[in-house]
Amino acid sequence: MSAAPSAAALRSGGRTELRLGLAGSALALVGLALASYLTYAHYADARALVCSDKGTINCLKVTTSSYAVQHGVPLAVLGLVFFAVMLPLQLPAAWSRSDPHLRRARLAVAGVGAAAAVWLVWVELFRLDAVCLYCTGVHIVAVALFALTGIGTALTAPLD
Amino acid sequence: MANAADSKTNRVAPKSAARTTHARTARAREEAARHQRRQRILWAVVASGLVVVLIAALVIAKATSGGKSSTPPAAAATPAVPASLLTNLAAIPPSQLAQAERLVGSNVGAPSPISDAPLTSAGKPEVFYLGAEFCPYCAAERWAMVVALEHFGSFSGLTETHSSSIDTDPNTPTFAFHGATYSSPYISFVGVETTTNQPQGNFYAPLDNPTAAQEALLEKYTQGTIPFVDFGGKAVIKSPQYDPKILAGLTVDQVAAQVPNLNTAIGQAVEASAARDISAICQMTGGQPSNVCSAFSGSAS
Repeated sequence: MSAAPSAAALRSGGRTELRLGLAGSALALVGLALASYLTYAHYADARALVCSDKGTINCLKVTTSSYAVQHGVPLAVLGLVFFAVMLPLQLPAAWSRSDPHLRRARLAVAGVGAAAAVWLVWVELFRLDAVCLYCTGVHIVAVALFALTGIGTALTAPLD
Repeated sequence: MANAADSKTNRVAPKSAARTTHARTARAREEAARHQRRQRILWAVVASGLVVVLIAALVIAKATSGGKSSTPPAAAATPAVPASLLTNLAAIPPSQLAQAERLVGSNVGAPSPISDAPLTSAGKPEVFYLGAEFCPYCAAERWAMVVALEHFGSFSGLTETHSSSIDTDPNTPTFAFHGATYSSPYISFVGVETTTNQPQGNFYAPLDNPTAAQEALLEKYTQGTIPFVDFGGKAVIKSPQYDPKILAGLTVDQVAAQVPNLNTAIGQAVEASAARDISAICQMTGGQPSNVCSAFSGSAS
């Protein structure tokens, strides 16, 4: 049986979870905004993206490629769903819960996001020869969320 | 008295020992817990670092590879098509393509209108090409296709290749659609090359496997002959648009240099074929983009 944490530990832990929750929510909101913009552009007009469409930085080439839709689902929509799922998981209230299922789910979703980011960077660099600025923003946020979630989960893990 | 004092000491000693043991156990447990937490944090940092290192490695690999795409190998190692070559083909003005079409008249084939179910993919009308790398007629067709498609989007990962060296019109210079990617806000492009240009057994080494639906389209419109192009279910190319003989003995670069020049046979044939393909694509896109489609009468919105 583990010893009950002291009041100081509880106070300190609460602060850690609050900080993780605030940082995670902020990142998820940034990702949500970027994914929303990409989704809007996908359905409205890909040419509406404020981005270069010549040379290496070429959002149009990336967002209109055959890779931009997987199994009939636009990647922009998948990104939107990812951040929409991630946002509630990153709220301070979610971080303060010690439910092991919730903690595992948050880590798994963050892992999927990071893996997708690595694959998409490969696609941009080696298949399309073009980089989309907004997609790069999404990748950075996804990797940052993975790092924050991994380290946060370790920091706040209940001790055996 | 002494006995009483001894008995008091004897009563206190076990409590103190128990307290000491309990404190030691608690400290050991705390130490173990701290160690466990440190290890978990280390794993998390390593996992996060690994993702960052992976991405950095991709960027470095790209930077040191001189910008080459990692297209899957076709039959043999084929050089990548220079970006400048595609830029030059994309830069041929639509008005010049339309002029080429008027110039050649009926000497160049046109897509035949059909009324089939709309062919779409990724939420956009689809241009579907089915051919093979050994086939010289497919080699010729790809020039017109690339010129046409470059006016609606752009290719990545196109490589240079040629038709079979042991078939009719041997070594016709061309592009390889296998492994290439096409981006366009207006249309999708699906290119299927069923074989390479390398003989294997009684035929050629297999490459892409068409789906049952794609095979059904081929069977329906050409009874299996290639090249076959379906423009969104609105028109199809059932036979070569021009004779590949005009490309004989040339390299991809030499053909590419002649394509924008309407004073050459290659320029006239490729541009006129591309113009007719563009007209068919404009039917699919409702006349978009207007700066391209407006040059072609009859590509109504």
